[in-house]
Amino acid sequence: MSEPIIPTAQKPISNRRDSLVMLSRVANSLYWMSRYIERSENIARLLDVNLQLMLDFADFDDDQLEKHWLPILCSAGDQETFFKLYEKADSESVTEFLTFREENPNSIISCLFSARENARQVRDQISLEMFETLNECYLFLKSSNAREVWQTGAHEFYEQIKKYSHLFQGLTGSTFTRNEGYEFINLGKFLERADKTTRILDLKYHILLPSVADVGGAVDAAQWQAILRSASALEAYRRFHVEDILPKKVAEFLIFSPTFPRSLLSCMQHLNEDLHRLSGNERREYKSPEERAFGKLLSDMNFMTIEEILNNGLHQFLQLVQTTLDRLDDHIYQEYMYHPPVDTQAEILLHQQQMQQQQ
Amino acid sequence: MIPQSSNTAEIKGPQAPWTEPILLSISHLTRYTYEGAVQDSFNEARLQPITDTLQQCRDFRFMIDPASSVRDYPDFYANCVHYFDVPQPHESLEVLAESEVQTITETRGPVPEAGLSSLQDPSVKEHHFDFLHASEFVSLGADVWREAVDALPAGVSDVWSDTVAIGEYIHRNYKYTPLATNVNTRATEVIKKKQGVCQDFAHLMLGLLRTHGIPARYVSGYFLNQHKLPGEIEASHAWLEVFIPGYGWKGYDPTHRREADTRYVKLAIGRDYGDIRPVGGTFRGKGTRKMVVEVSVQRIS
Repeated sequence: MSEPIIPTAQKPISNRRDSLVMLSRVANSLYWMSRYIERSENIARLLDVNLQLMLDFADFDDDQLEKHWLPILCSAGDQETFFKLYEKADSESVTEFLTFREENPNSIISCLFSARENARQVRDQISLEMFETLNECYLFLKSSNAREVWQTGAHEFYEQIKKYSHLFQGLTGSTFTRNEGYEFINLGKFLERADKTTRILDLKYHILLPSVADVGGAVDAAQWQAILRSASALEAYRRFHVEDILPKKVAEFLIFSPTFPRSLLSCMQHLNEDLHRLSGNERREYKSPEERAFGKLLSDMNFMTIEEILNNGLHQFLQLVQTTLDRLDDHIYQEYMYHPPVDTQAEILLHQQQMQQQQ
Repeated sequence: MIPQSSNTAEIKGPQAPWTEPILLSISHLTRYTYEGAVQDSFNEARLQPITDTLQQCRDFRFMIDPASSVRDYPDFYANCVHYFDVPQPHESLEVLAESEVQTITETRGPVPEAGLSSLQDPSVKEHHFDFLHASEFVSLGADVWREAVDALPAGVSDVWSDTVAIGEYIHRNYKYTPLATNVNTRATEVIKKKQGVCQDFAHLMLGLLRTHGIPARYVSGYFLNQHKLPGEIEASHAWLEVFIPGYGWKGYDPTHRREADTRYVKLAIGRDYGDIRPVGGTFRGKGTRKMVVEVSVQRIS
């Protein structure tokens, strides 16, 4: 008779936060999953708002249409690829390119496919609900139904895309374990959001740069309102500025609002917190040149006024922010996700440390 | 009992052992420089002086560069082993051990006379059994046996005096020659070459002693070298210990043909060098590299 097997109690896995270490590959996937879904939401909103804006400008000729859509194309996609596929930039071609074209790596469909692919690679790290949302979105986009919805009513289509993103982000907040992965998800989200906010603001510089006669006119107001709506900020703005939509106030609101969650300043404050939580640095400590540049910009912004920015050039300021965020993105990649390529010949060779003779 | 003469032991013959307790300050630096970056380096170091009845390690600092966390464990022979890893790419690795050691006067009295028969008692045997057999660097084949018979033709009558006799034999027939051998030289090769350094003499003598049935183990450490042998390089030292029934382990240094006294500081014991290399490990990367070792042993008081 053999001894009965007594099941040994399973040792509990440590519950401490720092015991939940993760692979850099996982960090990379979580970060990009989050960035891509935020990106798709922003593109959807931008296209939706601009398509609606076009309703007010039904008399635009080809030239005017191109002047309107080209900057949007530049801010969200790849111009070169676009002109390989289309002859001219108008409402139909630009929105199709930014929505359905898989040749464009920044189209909504490419972003969401990439988001889902990244999620699939770390399926075991995220919640079932998060993955199912992305997968449902993926299946929707792959079905012929998607184009039908888009063609019959683009607004409903973009609404749907935004809802997937909102659902996903809400589920992340309510079902994702608070470990380092959560910080990477947040970094991806806020970096993308901050970047997109600068691009939306910059649109006005490009396109909407009006002829002198238009300034302060009805067209100008409509365009500035479109900017606010592209950042989902119209109602939030109205709470503070009940009267007119003034360019200076809009820029100030989208850059400096401490309470609006899509303003540049709030996004950067979130980024700052997550960066510190991740690196373990003290609150005001920045250890790499990229983090320092970011910290300096954030600190400068606390003392800047909108007048200064406008005097020195809004476009220049937005470019500085974009460059700083780009460099930060690269730093996050180098620091947490990148595994340096090694000489494969050398990598497989395991060496003994040289030994010292005793004499 | 500081020897008056400044001549080397080689010229004057064995001198009276030091019995005076001394305080030594020791620094041992090992620096590896690699060609290009290497990574996934896993290392062990046996560099912490032992504390026992003959020496007390008062202070010990272990430092590495690139910085990494260092932990330690006692190995099978209770030597303290520090281990650390450097996973990230690096082009050099420095291991520095600094210590302060007080040596203590031997209080066990004179070494008693003892034959081999007294080693057979199982309660005694368990202390020395490991050190009677062949090991990686010390094979016990015909070559070693021939040399052992030449060294001690009449066989063992008293463990300690015969140990000294074998030491004298090595001293007469072998020449201290740096660079004639390397870290991997085995005892059999030393017999062919008739030259070597302390590591080789220790291995050789271990072979001769074990062939005669005397338990002997390898000791790694340092000693206060006031009279360097010609060409002698400052490095860690090696000698051996024999097991004497009714007494215990007793150190003997074949390189200087004398017993280990208060000038000697013990780091670790093992069957041979392979058990207790001061720093050892593995890494991934290109194989060519350079190693620099700097050892300094200073008397404080």
